[in-house]
Amino acid sequence: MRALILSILISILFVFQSSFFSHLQFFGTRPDLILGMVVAVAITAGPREGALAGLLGGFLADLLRGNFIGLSIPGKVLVGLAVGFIPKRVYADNFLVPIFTTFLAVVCDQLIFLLLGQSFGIGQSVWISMRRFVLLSACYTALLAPIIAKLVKDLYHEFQVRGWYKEQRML
Amino acid sequence: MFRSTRWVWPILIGLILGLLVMVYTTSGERTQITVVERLLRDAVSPLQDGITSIIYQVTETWNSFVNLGRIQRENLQLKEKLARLAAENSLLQESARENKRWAALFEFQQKSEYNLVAAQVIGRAIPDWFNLITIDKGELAGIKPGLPVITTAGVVGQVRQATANTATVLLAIDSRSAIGGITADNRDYVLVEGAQDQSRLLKVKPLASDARLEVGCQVVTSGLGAIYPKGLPIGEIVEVQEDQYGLTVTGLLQPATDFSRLEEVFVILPD
Repeated sequence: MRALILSILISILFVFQSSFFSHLQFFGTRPDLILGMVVAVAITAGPREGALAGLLGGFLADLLRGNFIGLSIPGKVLVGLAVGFIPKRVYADNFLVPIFTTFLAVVCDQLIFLLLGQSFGIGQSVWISMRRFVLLSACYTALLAPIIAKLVKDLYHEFQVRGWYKEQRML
Repeated sequence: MFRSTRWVWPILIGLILGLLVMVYTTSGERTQITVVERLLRDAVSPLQDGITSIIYQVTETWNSFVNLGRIQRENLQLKEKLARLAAENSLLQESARENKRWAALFEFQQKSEYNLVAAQVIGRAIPDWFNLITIDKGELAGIKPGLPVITTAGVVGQVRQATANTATVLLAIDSRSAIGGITADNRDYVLVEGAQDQSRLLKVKPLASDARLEVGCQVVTSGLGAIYPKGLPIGEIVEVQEDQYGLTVTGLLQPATDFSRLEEVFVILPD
């Protein structure tokens, strides 16, 4: 059930990212809401949930895009895992930390995507893409991170209440 | 089974290989998509449509709101421009019409056997029943009282007064006007007088008792009055009336000239 709800949430975020934020661009870039959610899940529920969210997020995003299916998965899974391993006390009551983490997460995710993409014939220059799009998109996503984090935190609280999730990470 | 660490690496390697195969097989141009992709896209498309249409409406409303002041200013400027252009257009059209009229007048003047001076009507007496017009040529152009005034259509009237640069013309429809005429068909001499009422129809009185007036008959100047040369169109008889004893007949004549639309006229100068 948790995976299903996360999948629905990812789909909704994809739709918002592709439609709503297409009209609300920041210097020609859109936020990576799915990665924002992966980071938020990892912060809230640890590396395993972060990796699961990364797997679902990467896979659904690729399916909805329609090509290079699976290429987004490694970056998002790795980011979900890495962020999930950061001790939770680091995030306590400091909204700047999720913002900064999300910024770095977007940069890492896109870097992995672009580097892997080079192997599969995506001719996009890593440096140019990073400079023109990724950094701006990372800033945009990072600014929205507190909202996504609150949403995911409330969602996981609801999962716990309904018994769909049992907190596993070390505090 | 999965708790045993010896399975972790083979599964992980299998997953990575599977992932690589999946990316590779979907990296080219794909004309067909899988059922899963189709279902997923169909599932999210209503939401996508809804959000997009809301976005468009909100954007449109916002843009309208933001652009309202600019649009109002533009609208005002465009209205001013339109009014200016309409005025210019009107002037140009008027010039074109005037040119056309003058060209026709010039041709008439060239072909005419008379010594004509073209003049423009610059004034009309107020009120209208005075039946006087003022033209922009006077004594300097050789115009003097008594000279006949015509248009390309026919007789207009007679010069009454002249100044150096203007002249006043008594129109043929005025009750004080009388022109010697002849019926074009029967060659009966008639006197064409101005109307007593404001009907703008002239009165035709035959000079001979046996003259025959017929509706539709054209009347031209007879040349006997020494004012108008012979053969200028005066008008067409539209009504014939007999007195109660049947002894005399009179006619009503529709002038050949449209006196309500006089703009350019010719004054016939003596040879």
